[in-house]
Amino acid sequence: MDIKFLPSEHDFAAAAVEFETPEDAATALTRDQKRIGGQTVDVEMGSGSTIYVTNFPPTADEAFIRSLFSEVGAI
Amino acid sequence: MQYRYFERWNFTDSGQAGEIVEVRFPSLKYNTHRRFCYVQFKSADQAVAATKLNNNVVGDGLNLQVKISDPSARQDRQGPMYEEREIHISNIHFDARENDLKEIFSKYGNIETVRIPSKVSGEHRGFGFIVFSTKVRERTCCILIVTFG
Repeated sequence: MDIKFLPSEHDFAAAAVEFETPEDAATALTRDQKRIGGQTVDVEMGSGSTIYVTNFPPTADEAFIRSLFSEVGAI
Repeated sequence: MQYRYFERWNFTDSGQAGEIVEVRFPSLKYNTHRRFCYVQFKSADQAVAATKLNNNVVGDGLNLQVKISDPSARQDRQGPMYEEREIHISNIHFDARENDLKEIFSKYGNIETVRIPSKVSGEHRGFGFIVFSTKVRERTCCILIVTFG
């Protein structure tokens, strides 16, 4: 299992959790809207949340890619 | 400097910024020419919204390719080399030109391109590539002794 946190201004607001099997992920979905430490958590499937990007300038680095996509993909 | 390309992309309809979990680049240990990456967003909706940038021009006429990552959609490598249409020739005489190779090898098939990469100074390095229009037949081994002058 692999956990990645998304930093926010105050604390960690979200995390992506990768499970070994789809069944484990489905089990984790049952925790949706449960209260953990006084907070109600949202749990949703993360599949399809990764994009494949190519044909960017050879000089592009992670900062370039992040800037590129920081303006899109908002809810 | 390199950020200038997307200043004009204004996605006012999209509201706040997409939340990126991680950007993953491939290892360049064995092939430094690999140029792709995976961008993981907080949600699938954000990933779908990011595909709006597909085909946007970045830099010197490069059309950015953005697709939802789908490992089952992977394609086999393409190109003359993988289609076994390309041969490599070494030890080419330094006076020889692409046309000379074309003349010599045209009897083995229909030649698509002949390339002898050259140095900045104009002279070549003694090797070249020939692409045939059809697959090179069964490991044909040919030894040619070509003299000039």
